[in-house]
Amino acid sequence: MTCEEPARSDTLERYVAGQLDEEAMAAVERHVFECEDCASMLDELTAIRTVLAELPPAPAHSRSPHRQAPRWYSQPWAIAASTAVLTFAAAGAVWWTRGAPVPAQARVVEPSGPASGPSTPEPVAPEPAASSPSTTAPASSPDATTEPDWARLARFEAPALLALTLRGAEAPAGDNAALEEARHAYARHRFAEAADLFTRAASGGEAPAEIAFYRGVSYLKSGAADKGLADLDAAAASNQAPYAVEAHLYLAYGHLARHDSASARAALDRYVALDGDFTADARRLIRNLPTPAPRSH
Amino acid sequence: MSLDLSTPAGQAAVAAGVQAADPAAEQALATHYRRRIYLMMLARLRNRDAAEELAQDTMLAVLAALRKGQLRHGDRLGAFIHGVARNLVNNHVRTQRSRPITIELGEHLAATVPHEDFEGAQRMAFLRREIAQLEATDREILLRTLVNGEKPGQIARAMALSSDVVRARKSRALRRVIQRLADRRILSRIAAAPHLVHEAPE
Repeated sequence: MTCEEPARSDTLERYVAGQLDEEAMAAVERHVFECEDCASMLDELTAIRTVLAELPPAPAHSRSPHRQAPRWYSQPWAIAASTAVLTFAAAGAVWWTRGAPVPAQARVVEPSGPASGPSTPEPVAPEPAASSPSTTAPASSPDATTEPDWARLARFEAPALLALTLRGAEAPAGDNAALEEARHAYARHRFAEAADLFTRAASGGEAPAEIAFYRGVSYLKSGAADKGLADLDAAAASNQAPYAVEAHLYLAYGHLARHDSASARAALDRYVALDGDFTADARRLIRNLPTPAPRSH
Repeated sequence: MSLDLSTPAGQAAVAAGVQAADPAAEQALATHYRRRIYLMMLARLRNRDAAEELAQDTMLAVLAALRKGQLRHGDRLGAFIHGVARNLVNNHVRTQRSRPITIELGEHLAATVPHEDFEGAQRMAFLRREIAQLEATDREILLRTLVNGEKPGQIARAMALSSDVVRARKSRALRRVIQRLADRRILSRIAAAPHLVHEAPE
């Protein structure tokens, strides 16, 4: 590796962001060990990253003034998600001003999790003509006779992982090492592996709320909805903020993965009642849930 | 004897010096590599305490090995240290159990151990102010790049910008912050040694 390469390909930035594979990381390190300029650059990028990672949320994204912004808010994914809301809101406004005709089916917004959840736009289509047959169904409710796109409804982005450390005498060093590995696997979207490592971090016993939460998300993302729901139920019952609240949102996604609209609705209602960080998005998701088919007698 | 560790000859000289228990060589070794090892550990572990600890362990392991003459090719000292550091961090991730290494550490080396000192705290405070002064969009781009690890294309999609704009804004913002850091370093040096500043000739 030469000095020009890191600058040309943003390699140092990607190294600092933890986006390089082992071989590329080692190449960067070997170069930095020899090169004064790149070592200095790495030092500065690391410091900048540290400051960025501790940034408070932008005021434009803050919630009602009576409520202190929770730690949840300071996470990059929350900031990113809030930005996405504004982006989509702006896009929606443009759409509105153009008065684009939109079929009723197209007004079903794509649901997603907190990372992209706030980007879910409010349906802003103009009121369709009264004679339109598509208006007979609620604007945001899919036709009950059509099979809902469950996979799409259950899609979400995993929340970024907070720094986790098992504390106390009951947490052996090996557990924290497993936790570190789990964190790496999770960050790289290797969710099945992350779920196993979270289990190891919890020493096979009852997982603390934060572990249960992230393991639950990992299970959901790796297709093990039942296990995910069990963990998220535990996190929701833990009374430990913010996991106890936010778990309800992911419980909803878990239920949607099992095509259980009623349970998803109940979880979302609970989430809204608890005033979770993404209540507005949960409300939108509720509006887009499939209407349960009437029971036949 | 050149102790310039950016050259193979310098590395060989330092390795030989450490083996001969030369304090100047040990000082040069620690000054050059200690911070780099810490940054490497931090990038891999995202945990300052663990990074500090492992950087220290690496330095001690390297010193112990060099004193015993275990490095055959002194001109490859950097690669050797990187290998030791990599082994330790990988071992840490796997087991988080590293054997304690006990060797005598002179005061000249203890002084090179980095910590969150006053200067470091001031630097971080300075950086916080500089980053706060960036445009919100630029700050967001930097955050997505360095913290979230998103690529320009992803950021562009999320922020409704073009990839070129994202790249340009990112480069500009980074340049600005890094330049301000460099300016600050110069000012600090001037403040520390005002006698080195001469008035420009008429």
